[in-house]
Amino acid sequence: MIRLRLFGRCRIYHDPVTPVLRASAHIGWDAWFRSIDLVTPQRLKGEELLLRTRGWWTVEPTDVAEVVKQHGHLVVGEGGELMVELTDRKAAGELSAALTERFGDQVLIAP
Amino acid sequence: MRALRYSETVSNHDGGWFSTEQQFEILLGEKEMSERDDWGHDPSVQSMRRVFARMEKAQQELLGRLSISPFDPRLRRRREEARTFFERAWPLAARRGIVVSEEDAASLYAHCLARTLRSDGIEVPSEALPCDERILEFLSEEHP
Repeated sequence: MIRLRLFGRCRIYHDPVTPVLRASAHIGWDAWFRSIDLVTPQRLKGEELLLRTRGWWTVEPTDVAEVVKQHGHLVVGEGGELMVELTDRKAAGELSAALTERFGDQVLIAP
Repeated sequence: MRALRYSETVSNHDGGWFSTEQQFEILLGEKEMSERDDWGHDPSVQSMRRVFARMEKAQQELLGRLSISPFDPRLRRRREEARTFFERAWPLAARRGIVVSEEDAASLYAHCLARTLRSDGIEVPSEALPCDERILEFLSEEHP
């Protein structure tokens, strides 16, 4: 298995950028009839993090997810990186080719 | 969130990068916005786009000449080091008039990347790099 980060192009500068989850989301609760003190930290899943690139990348993230999921798994790395988990370099090459075919040079995979 | 008009984005732009906060404010999160180019008319944005494009091309050419796979795991660390190195060197080189053009910036970046690759034991022949004596001299003086 290999993991590569997923980059899209910044809508402003057009350079390759990738989201990094710096901290977990802290989910609390409100209720009609009681107070709830519980706050649960939740890490986003890979696809959830990818969807947060909407408006930041030049491409629509749901379209990217559709292509990526045919070749590998979207995951969040140990450092919060948006990554694609692939079986080997051959699969990485195939995904790279598929991304190029669909998005030109707008979506890249890299270490 | 709303779209900032072009005039607003320009007034927020201080000759360098948009800050993260500004980008957060500017960028919308609306699907259709991904297809619009609200910044393409800003000359400073156009300039940075050209610089980054040239840096990317210089990087691709260098890695291609060295036959390094784009999936080589060493690249992540080396790119990070090269970026740090470049961000320190570029302003100083610009102040000294050594890096004046977009092409110069790309050339400086290629040399920064080559240095980090060499630190990993990768042989980078000088022929694989843009030939610019001023940049070489600058790097050997300032970042020996």
